[in-house]
Order: sequence, then structure tokens, then C-alpha cells
Amino acid sequence: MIHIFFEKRLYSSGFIRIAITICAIIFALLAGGVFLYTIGVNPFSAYSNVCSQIFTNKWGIEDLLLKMSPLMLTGISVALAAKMRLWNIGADGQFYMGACAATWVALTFGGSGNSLMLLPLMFLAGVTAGALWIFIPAFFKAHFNVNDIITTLLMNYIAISLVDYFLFGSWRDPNSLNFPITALFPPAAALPMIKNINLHIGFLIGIFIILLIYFFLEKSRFGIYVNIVGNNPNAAQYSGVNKKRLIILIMMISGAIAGLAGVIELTGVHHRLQQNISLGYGYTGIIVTWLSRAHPLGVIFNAFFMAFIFVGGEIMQMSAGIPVAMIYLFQGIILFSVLGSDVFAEYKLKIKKTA
Amino acid sequence: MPDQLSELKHPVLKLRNITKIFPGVVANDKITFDCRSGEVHTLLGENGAGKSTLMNVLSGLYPPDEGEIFLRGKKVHFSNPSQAIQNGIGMVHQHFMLIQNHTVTENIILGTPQPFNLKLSKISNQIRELGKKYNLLVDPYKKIQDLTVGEQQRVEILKVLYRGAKILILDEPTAVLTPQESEALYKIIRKMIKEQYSIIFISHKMKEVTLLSDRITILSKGKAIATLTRGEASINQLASMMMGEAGQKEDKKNICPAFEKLGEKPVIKIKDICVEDWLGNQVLHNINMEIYKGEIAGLAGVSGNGQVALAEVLAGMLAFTKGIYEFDGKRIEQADVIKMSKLGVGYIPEDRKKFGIVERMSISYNFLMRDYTNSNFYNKFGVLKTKKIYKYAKSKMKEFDVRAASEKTAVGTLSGGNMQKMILARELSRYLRFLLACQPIRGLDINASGFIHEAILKAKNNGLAVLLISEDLDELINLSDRIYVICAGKIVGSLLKEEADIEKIGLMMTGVEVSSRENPS
Repeated sequence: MIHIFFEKRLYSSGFIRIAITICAIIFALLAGGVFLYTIGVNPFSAYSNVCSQIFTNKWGIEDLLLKMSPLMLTGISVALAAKMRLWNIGADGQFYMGACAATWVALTFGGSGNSLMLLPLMFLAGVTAGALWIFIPAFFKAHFNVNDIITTLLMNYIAISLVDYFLFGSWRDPNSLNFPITALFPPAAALPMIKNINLHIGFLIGIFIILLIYFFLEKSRFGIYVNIVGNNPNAAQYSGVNKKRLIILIMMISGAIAGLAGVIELTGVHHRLQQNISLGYGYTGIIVTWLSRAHPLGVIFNAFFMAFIFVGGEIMQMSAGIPVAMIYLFQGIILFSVLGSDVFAEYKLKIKKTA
Repeated sequence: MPDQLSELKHPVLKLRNITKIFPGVVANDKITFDCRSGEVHTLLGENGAGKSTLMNVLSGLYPPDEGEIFLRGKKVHFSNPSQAIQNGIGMVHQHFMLIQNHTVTENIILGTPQPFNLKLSKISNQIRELGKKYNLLVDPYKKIQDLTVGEQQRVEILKVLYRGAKILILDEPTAVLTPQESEALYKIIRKMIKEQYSIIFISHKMKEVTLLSDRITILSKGKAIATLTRGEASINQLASMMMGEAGQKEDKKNICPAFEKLGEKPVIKIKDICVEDWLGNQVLHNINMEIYKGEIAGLAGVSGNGQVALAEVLAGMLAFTKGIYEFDGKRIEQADVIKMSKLGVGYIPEDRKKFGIVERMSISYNFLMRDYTNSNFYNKFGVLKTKKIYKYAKSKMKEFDVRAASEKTAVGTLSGGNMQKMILARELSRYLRFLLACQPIRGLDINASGFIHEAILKAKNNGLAVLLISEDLDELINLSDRIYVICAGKIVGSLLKEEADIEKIGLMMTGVEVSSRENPS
């Protein structure tokens, strides 16, 4: 008889985890290929077409990095909270609120002459709005242990409705032919571009924030606190770390970063507030965090990877007429197989023949 | 005890050449072990000697890499615990696996095949009969949460008996019992032996091992070194066999920095301290205690009688509802952990894995706990001086004999003994006035225990006040200058070292006041 069983690994190294994650992604691409095949597309030619389009022309790379910018920020936002075993499912809502607050600044002060201060003010407003938006779930999590997954998620729907309220109401551009969009912001509200490429500096801000968070987590007192509370709340109590205050602080930083992503997307890409500015970046940030296992540097790579899926989906949509839902399907399969692959990181699969 | 009789019999259970390898460790190296019906066969060994692994292999938790198991002469293969129990092998775990708000009967039948319409009263009667037969007296209708620890253990034993086990594995069964309860357990074991049950007994306690066992197998570093029959070896011989050579060498370095002498004021003085838990139940009732410098005060009691609450109050983790807490003559109005740690409280928590360390952090970073302003470790912006921290950790690991691959190793990978030494190193290496040691050697092997006891004694000699909280009465009597006994959140009394004996303390632990010197006030 053949016995197949799982045996617990005593120790799973970073190498094993990365290798298993890569295997999971390959598995997901293969599984996604089956779906492509069922709708009559040859998955191999579709994949190779996507790769050549992205990596052999300037437009492809630029679009990839453009999509990667908000994903890095929402990714690090979720990852930072995850370091404390908290789930910020609400990065999308904070993203919207960040954009919304920045829009208010642009619409209110955009007309005045002081254009130098406009962009910093928009950033300040957006970051604050993101932090305040998550303060509500954070407060209840810290003091009453209310489930953060549910509260942060529900806040998203409120945020989107709030944005709609303004878009369909007082902020609607009279010249928009009744579309729910605001007027274009003045040029002073546009994020500067990086030289020679069609990419705003939000990309660099994203990298900078990730490195900053990485430094804080690894090399500061703050990081020690996060490590203690995140890995062992009992030890936090024993060693005198104020868990409640830290939960609120970390969640607010997480919210601020997601709000920042919203401002960057607004000032770097759209230059006006409209519906669906997020494309689900907040939710994709969760996948980025899972793929990188909340490691800040991993967030950079996985934001790149998820941006690749986004852009690849766009290309397939254009060249092969594949519905946009396919992108979400891919995201789902990837998340599913990465989550499922965890069991192989914790356990070894063993096969044994017995008499 | 039918010694000769069981000699003649074939063993019921035979393990042959069991080998189990975990990455980097040979947990069991060709162990051969057998058990006859009607005998107590003890497994003796340090922590990490491979006892648990062997029993887990036997009870079907892990498959062995090599080796065979024979049951009544037939080769068997268990791939999960339920197969083992079906074949009559039952394990009574050290940590009870009971559901607190279910009754005894419900706990016992959980997981056994039962008809759709349960006849609980009929089953309860069966359980009562079974209990009567083996002195396992417990009310089948009571909920687990209303039982004493000793009674809960009886439920665990009944659980395996009800499932028809004929071979019982008892994993350190007396670790949580009072001396009287242990005595009762010995009686139960003897009775079961008469009924031809086989008992595999795992224990650290030499006395009970020599008292109960028909045979003793000594494990060390994954190997079975020897199997002895009753009366073949004395306690001391057993101990030295179990430790191997390592036990001979004891490190006698000066562990604690010297502390200056103060006047004869108590370091710790608490008066009428009361504590309520969040449900409003009173956990501590008017506790009075004084601990002087250079004194080890012991606190004896069955676990769960308020020891943890008292320790947490002293360490600043738990607020008291009434009473006065004075530290070095200064009244503490609002204690918190950081404040108490700055005043000089070192705290070795009872559950070292759950509270004392962060398993996934490196050894070095674990040294940073409980003090977040030390300028040796942080610059003024709160940035870590990593090189200094690593250097510090390395030197402390050497001083306290913490054995690990490097100072960057995750603490969670250390053995219990090394983990405890690491905690001790952290707590003793700061400015210190008072050491709070809760169950400092629980689950540790003889070497590590010796090291920790030595460190505690040295701390006392260097003028620290020490509160030693333990369930191990031998430990308390050996180390303490005065022993307080706690029961149901009250101090039942205190005994000086000279008047302390196990019987008396054991009696007081159950709440009986024994004539003794007055509580100091």
C-alpha cells in the first residue's frame, strides 16, 4: 500500500517559501491557461504576445510602471498592517478618501494664485483623510477587538458612496455633458514627470516609502514594538508595549499610505476625480502582501508582478478580445494557489510504500 | 506486584529499532522498548532525550522512519492516533485535552461511536462503574470547569479506559498535582496494574519513578542507554545515567553584578492587596507579604490559585483593586511594566514561550524586550545600534551558556532550557532589586535546572530580593528562606525554612491552615 501523508517541517526557510510561491504562480498561470483555452484562445501564444508587447516597446513598460506605482503603495499599506497581524481590507476606501480630500483642496484652492502650495496641500489632505478613514476601525479594533477585516471592508463601500455623492452633486463639472466627473485640475495640481519617460514621480515616491517602512521595521525601536505585538501579543503585555496605541498608530500609517496612493493616482494619471479611479488597487494590495508574505522588499517585486497581470490583461483584451473579468479571474486564481501553497511551506509531502 | 510472573510473560507491546529523524536531529536512534501486561515501565530522560517523540510514534502521531511496532506479537502500523486507540493504546497527555464547559460524560464519549439517540444516563452509569473499579472517582455529570486538576486527570484516564485501552501512556502525570493527589494517582496505577493493564510512565521525578516502576528505561540524546529492573539503581545513579557526562561540569561564574547594601527595609512590601478579574471575581484576597534583600521567598500552591495574578501585580502587568504596594519603601500608585522594570524588577514569567519571548525574533532582539530606552541599544532617534546589540547578545549568551547556532538565530528554535537561560540573562543583566521567578525550571532538564537555581541563589547572595513561585515543593524547600502557601487567592500561611516539610505544605496547599508562625505584617 502506498501512504501519502504530510509531515510538519520543523523549519521552513525563506528560500523554500519563495520557491513555493513561484511554483504557485506558475500553477496559477497554467490553470488560467486552461480558462483561456476554453474560450478559444491559445494560452501560450497569448502569454508570449503579452510578454513581447510589454517588454519590447516603451509604451508597455511605461504602462506597467504606471500601474505598479499605486500597487506598491497599497501593497506596503496592507503589508505594514499585516506585520501586526491586522488586515487592512480597506485600502481601497482610504485610496478613494485620499483622492476625495485632495480633490476638495484642488477645487477649493486651485483657482487662487498660490500654485506652489497646491500640490503639497493636496498631498497633506489626502494622507490625512486616509489616516482618519481607518481611524474608526482602528479605534474599535484596539479598544474592543472588533474584527478589523469586516470593519475596514465595510468602510470601503461608504467611501465609494461618498465619492459618488460629490461626483453626482456639487463637484460635477457643468461642462461634462452630465458625466459624474469633476473639472480638470489646474496644471499646478499635476504630479511632476520623471525625465525622458512618460511616468510620474509617484513611482519613486512608492519605492521611497517602501524603503522607509523597511528601515523602520528592521532598524528602529518602532520595528521592535511592531515585531513584539505582531508576533506575540502576550509578550507585548509582559514587556510593556502599549498594544492599543500601537494598533491605532500602525493602522493610521497604513491608511495614510493608501490615501497617498489615491492622491498620486489622482494627480499623476487622472487629473480629475471620477468613478473607478482605483481599479481595485486596494484589494490587489492584499494579494501583493500575501505574495510577498508582508516583506516590504517583496512588495516591490509583487507589485511589479500584479501590474504585469493588469497590463497583460489589457493587452489580451485589446488583441484577443478577452473580457476584463479575465484579469480578476487571474488574480483570484493566483491568490487561491498562493494561499493553498502555504500548506507546502509548513508541511512536507511524503510518499511511502508499506507492505 | 507480580514481578516474577510478568517476567515470564511475553511483552504485550514491543518497539524495535525505532528511528525518527527530524531535519538536523536524530530524535530517536534505534530505540528498542517493550512493555508487559501488569507492569509499570518508566521512560526516564532529560528534555529533548526523545521520550515524547517515541510516545508520539507509538500513539500514531508520527510514522517512524525506521523500525517496527509489535502488538501482542503482531506487527502494526498506526498512521493516526485513532488507530492506536483502536488497538488499545491510549495516551494521557500532560496538558489535558478536555472541553471546559462540557460534562465529564460528554468529554469521555466525544469521538466514540454512539447511537443517534444518546442515552447519557446509561453511559454515565457505565462511567461511574468504571471509575469505581479503579478508584477514579469523579461525578460524570459535573462540568470540567468545576473539577480540580486531579479530577480532570482522572477524566483523562477514564477517557482512554472507556475507549478500551489496555496500554496507557502517562506523560508526566504528577507535574500538576499536589502531593496528596499524586499519592491517590499512585494508588490508581497500582490498582490498574493488578488488572493487568500496562502503564508507560514518563516522569522527571526520581522518587516516584523508583517507587512505582517495575522497569526503567533511560533515554539520552535519542538513544536508549539502559533498562533497569526495580531496585537495580539508586536515585543518584539514575540521575547520573540520565545526565551523561555533561552533568558533572557546573559553571560557577559570578552571574549577577554585585548590588550595594541598603538598610533593613523590605524591597517588596504589599499590604491587603486584592485583585478582581474582568468578570468581577476576586482572584486575590488581602495578600500581605514582605520580601527583604538577600532573601528568597517561596510561594507554594497548586496552579491556578492566584499565583499568576500576584506575579503580574508585582511586575506591574495587572492593576490591583485594593491595597498598598511599596517598592523600596516607595509607594507605587499606578504600576506599569516599564516603570517597574526601571525600578529594578526582573521577571521570569511562568509560561516562557507565551510571555517571555517572541519566538520569531532573533535572540539578540529578544534582549531588547522590557527596556526600550537603553542608550547602548538605541541612538537618540530610536534607531537600533545593531552591531552593539549583536555583540551584547553574544557576550550574554556566553556568560549564561545559551547554546544556539548564532545570536541571530530565532529564539523559537531553542530548547526550553536555552530559552529560559536567555530570559534569565536578559532579566539579570539590568539594574535589579527584585527577581520574580515563576516556575523557573518547569519542563527543564537537570542541567538547565541546576544552572537556573544557581543563578537564583547567586542573585540572592548579591542582595536581591527574590520571589520564587513554584509547584515543585522540593525546589521551594531547597531554595527558599521562607515559604508562603497560597490557596484560592489567599495566603494560607507561611513557614520558615526550618519548619517546612512537604507534608505540611501539601496540606496547606489544599487550604488547611497548619499551626505555624504568624504571617509577617
